[in-house]
Amino acid sequence: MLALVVATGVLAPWLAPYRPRAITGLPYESPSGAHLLGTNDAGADILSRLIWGSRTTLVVAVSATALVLAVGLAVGLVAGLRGGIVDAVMMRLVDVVLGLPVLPLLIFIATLVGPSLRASVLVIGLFLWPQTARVVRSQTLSLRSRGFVGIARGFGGGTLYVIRRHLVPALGPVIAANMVFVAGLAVSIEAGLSFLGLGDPAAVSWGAELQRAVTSPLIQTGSLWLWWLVPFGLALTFAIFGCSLIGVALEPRFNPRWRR
Amino acid sequence: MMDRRTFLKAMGGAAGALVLGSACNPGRPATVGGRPTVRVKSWGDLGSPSPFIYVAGPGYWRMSLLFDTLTWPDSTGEQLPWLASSYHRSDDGLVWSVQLRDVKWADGMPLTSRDVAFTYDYYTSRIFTPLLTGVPRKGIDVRVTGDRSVEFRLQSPDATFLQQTLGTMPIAPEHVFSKIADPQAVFDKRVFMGSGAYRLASKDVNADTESYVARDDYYLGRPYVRRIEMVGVPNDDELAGLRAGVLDGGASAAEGVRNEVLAPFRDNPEFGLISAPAGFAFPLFFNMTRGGALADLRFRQACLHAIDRNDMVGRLLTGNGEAGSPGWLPPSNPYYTSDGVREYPFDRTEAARLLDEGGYRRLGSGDRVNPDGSPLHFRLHLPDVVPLALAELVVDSLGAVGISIDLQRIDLVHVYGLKVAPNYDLIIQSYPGPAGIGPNADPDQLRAVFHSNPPSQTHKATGYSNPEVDRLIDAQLATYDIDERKKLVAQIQQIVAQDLPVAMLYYTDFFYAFRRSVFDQWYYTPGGFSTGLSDVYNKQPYITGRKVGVQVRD
Amino acid sequence: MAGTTEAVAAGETGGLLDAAGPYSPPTRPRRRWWVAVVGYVVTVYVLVTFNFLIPRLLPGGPIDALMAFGSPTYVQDDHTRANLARYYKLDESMPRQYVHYLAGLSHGDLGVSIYNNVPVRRDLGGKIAWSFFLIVSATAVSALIGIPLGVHSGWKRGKPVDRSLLGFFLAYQNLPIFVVGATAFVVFAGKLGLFPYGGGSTPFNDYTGVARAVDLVRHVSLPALMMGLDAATYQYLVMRSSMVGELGSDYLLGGRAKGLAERRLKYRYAGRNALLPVVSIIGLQFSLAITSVIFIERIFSYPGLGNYMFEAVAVRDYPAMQGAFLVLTLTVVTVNLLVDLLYRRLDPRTAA
Repeated sequence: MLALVVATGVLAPWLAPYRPRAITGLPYESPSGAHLLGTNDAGADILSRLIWGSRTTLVVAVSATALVLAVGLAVGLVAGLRGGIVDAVMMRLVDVVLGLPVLPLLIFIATLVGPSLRASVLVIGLFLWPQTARVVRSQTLSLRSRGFVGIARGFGGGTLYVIRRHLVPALGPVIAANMVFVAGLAVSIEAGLSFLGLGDPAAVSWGAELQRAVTSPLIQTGSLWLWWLVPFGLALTFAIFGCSLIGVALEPRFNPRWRR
Repeated sequence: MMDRRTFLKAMGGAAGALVLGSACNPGRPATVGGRPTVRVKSWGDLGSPSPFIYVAGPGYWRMSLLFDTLTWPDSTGEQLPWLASSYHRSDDGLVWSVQLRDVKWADGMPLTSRDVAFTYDYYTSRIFTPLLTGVPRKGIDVRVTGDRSVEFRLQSPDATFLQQTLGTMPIAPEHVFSKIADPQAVFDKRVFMGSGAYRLASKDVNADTESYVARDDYYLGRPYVRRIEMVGVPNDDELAGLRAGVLDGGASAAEGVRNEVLAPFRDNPEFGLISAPAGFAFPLFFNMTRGGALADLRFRQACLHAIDRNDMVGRLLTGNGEAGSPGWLPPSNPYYTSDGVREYPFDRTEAARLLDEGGYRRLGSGDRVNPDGSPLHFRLHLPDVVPLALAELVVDSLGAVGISIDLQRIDLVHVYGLKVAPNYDLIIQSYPGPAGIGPNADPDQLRAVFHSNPPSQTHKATGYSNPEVDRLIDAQLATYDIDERKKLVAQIQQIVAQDLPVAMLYYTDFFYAFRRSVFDQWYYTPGGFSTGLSDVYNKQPYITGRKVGVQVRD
Repeated sequence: MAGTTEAVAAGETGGLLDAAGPYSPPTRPRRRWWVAVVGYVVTVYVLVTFNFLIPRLLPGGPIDALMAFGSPTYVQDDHTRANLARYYKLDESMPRQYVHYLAGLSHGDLGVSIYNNVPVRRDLGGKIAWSFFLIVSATAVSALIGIPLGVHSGWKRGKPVDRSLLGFFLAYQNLPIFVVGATAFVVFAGKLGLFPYGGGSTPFNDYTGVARAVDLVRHVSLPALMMGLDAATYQYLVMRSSMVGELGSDYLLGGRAKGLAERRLKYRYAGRNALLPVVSIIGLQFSLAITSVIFIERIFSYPGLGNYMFEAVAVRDYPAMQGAFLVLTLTVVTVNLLVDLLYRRLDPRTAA
């Protein structure tokens, strides 16, 4: 499923019949040979926007995830390796951020920052890292307790060397599972913010197009909702479901809690 | 196989929900003794309907039900004596004398000329929330000349005085507000005890409803509409609310409406439908202070030639609007002229010629570059009230002649900051703002756009300064003679169409659909009511039950 | 995909719930109760400070928002700006503003709405009641749907019923609530007119007693159903997996041997025992509810806190935004703390 979304995003220029912003018809055309899903309120091809929208989804997913990964990894590794007071302080911080109700916070900040894709990504990244940090830390601790970190250190390996050589490969799979979940969340949060009118409505994205459809005065008339509202909702579900399925599939293999 | 009991429970629940859901809206007595109850949209909680704390246009309207002004317009647009029994302007145009009717406040105290003078002082001597739409100009000397007579002495003649002061300033009771230093800090009903035709009967912030009941002892007679009820609707979609039976009247969205949305009301004899041209407008501003192409007349002219405004009206509004005039005012404004106003018909060849002439070379890719070789590229800001589709058409049109544009959506509240800085290249704004003074209002609206020293930066043509235009704008304000004023305003339109600091894209038509059986005297006030509010909610027809005059229908 | 379903069907949903990220309460490492309380106090302090700082640090700010709405007749110059700043006490130094803010908060003063000039606290009271009603209704719906279906699914583990129910709920869990909600509103309330067109009650009704109750239920039914289905997913999954855990228990074997009816075994014995873990996800359910209530109230213009927050956002009414934000977030963290403490008492491992 996810592969399909990724492929669509990458291949958008070849798959889509038109450029996403090109005005290729009259507004609100019904589906036809030229426009398989009709046209939107500006007269742009809905199918093309659906296809190009997957690209935005990908960008959001990848960049938010990268941000989460960077922060989560840094905090988790430092806490796990240093231990002691640093660990305690960082983990309390993680607890605090985890305890925050994210959606109201996101709305609050997104409102003030103003609508832009970059802001959405930043804000999402800002609040999703603690989970990752916690996973990384616990893995680091368990690896450390297994002793080979100490041995590597004993042989004169620097901290960075230890991280690169031993921790990252061992952490990889766990992080991968976590990252897929984060990606799915990032996609749904971005769409949710867009839906509330707090994303960048000028972007070609699924959430933005959904919001556009829902706020159109014509959505209540005719069958417009069938080819404008529904496909974007389905696409989103598809992407999010894809992420969580992969995550569920990866998790049992790498999560020690699953090995009883 | 599903467990039977579970299944039954689920089915029972679903069926129950459907039955409950489909039970139709309970009937309500719309009319009592021939006097209707009218249900219109609520704009959410706008606080107390009080002269000093109302919120923008809709807030003014509610407040106007409780507080009367000295004059008020009907469907002819004429200012009728309202609290005033008559008014008179001196020959030099500097003194307006007003006689008051014998009117009592809702608490039984008489309304006197002292209240009028007090209200003016109160308005001009305090700081109020900028959400008020009609604060009178400073510098007027208000003299009490008798219990029921008062004089306004102006420093210079003011053609807008009648509408914007006498027809806008709600008269507040001195005996109440003299004891209130900061009305914003008072939340009880003292602050909305007025002289108007209605009183606030109920307000439920949670249900988003408010109701106003007629005062039978109103000085012009017992108001025709007995009760006005305001109800919130999802998405602020009034027409859907009307169709769903929640409202008795619904306005089309200000940003314009397509025929598909109006069709259910056109085809159904149960509904009436009225319209008014140019209720709302979308101007494209160039930030001329940026220099370069934006300050180059040929570039701006090319932009306008490149945009097919008539086609936009057809595409986006199915014809329910009008292409913008380069002179700002719409054809429906009595001061509009096309004489000597330069036209910029859609013509890509002409646009390309102007751009070539200006040295904006076209590259192989189709994009153009500035004479210095940098890309001809701009950022177009788009406040959230401007339809995205409109901006996308503009981007598409300009792209076709080689001007590349990035869209940047912004919140309406950030427009002010951008314009003051000024920190933008291009911006499509909505006109009017929340204060509601529409394109059909008094021509002094040109001051806000083209004068080098406008009262507000919100709609200022950034970087535009033409001493001749400044002089003409000041001159028309001081001219009472309509024909004389029309000539001055025509000259302004001719000059600004030539200088083109702003490109008016289009005006949208307003539509109002209503349930005939409940109330059918709706109209759009020519020139707007109060400061020039362009929506349908003039209180005159509710009070009188007719479209003209102050005589109340029996 | 089949393999994935198996993984979940194997009776473990912990990973899935943990991964719910922002929608999940903090997983509870076993630490002393006072650590939880201190953590709570810190979180509250962080939220309160956030609430103060964010609007003041970001560009724009309350005065710009106010000025933007200014009328053409109102002079928008630096003088006015300064006056407004003084009026709203935004011209004082940051530490002083902070002290004022905390002092105000300590006696429940949330400020006065800039937009409608009403004390924010006055508005919030009613909104909280409506949101509460919606959340309670949704919880009832979700319990009615999630728990029996979870019991049934777990009981029939691996059978087609189980697989299709599991598939449905897993898919539904991934449907963003605003997509389902908006579609349901457009179709059922808008196009088909089966449900009231938004709102929490019939405007200007003078219903009493039963009629009033019917009216409230009529309005809450569709939004509560949409919210409830979303929450039911979690109850279903937890109920199902804990039911699966009970399946091999001795008492069931004994019960069967005694010839007790299947139904009695299923609901009376296994179901009741399996119910405990469901209680433990109350906190999660609540965080979820806060998220979905914002979307659902928005879509159905339900007169609750979420919609209020949204209206405040639309006009950048900072005091109102901050008030709604504080109430929403503090409720979530408080409920989380209470659940945490409750959990300690119930769970023998942490009770000691």
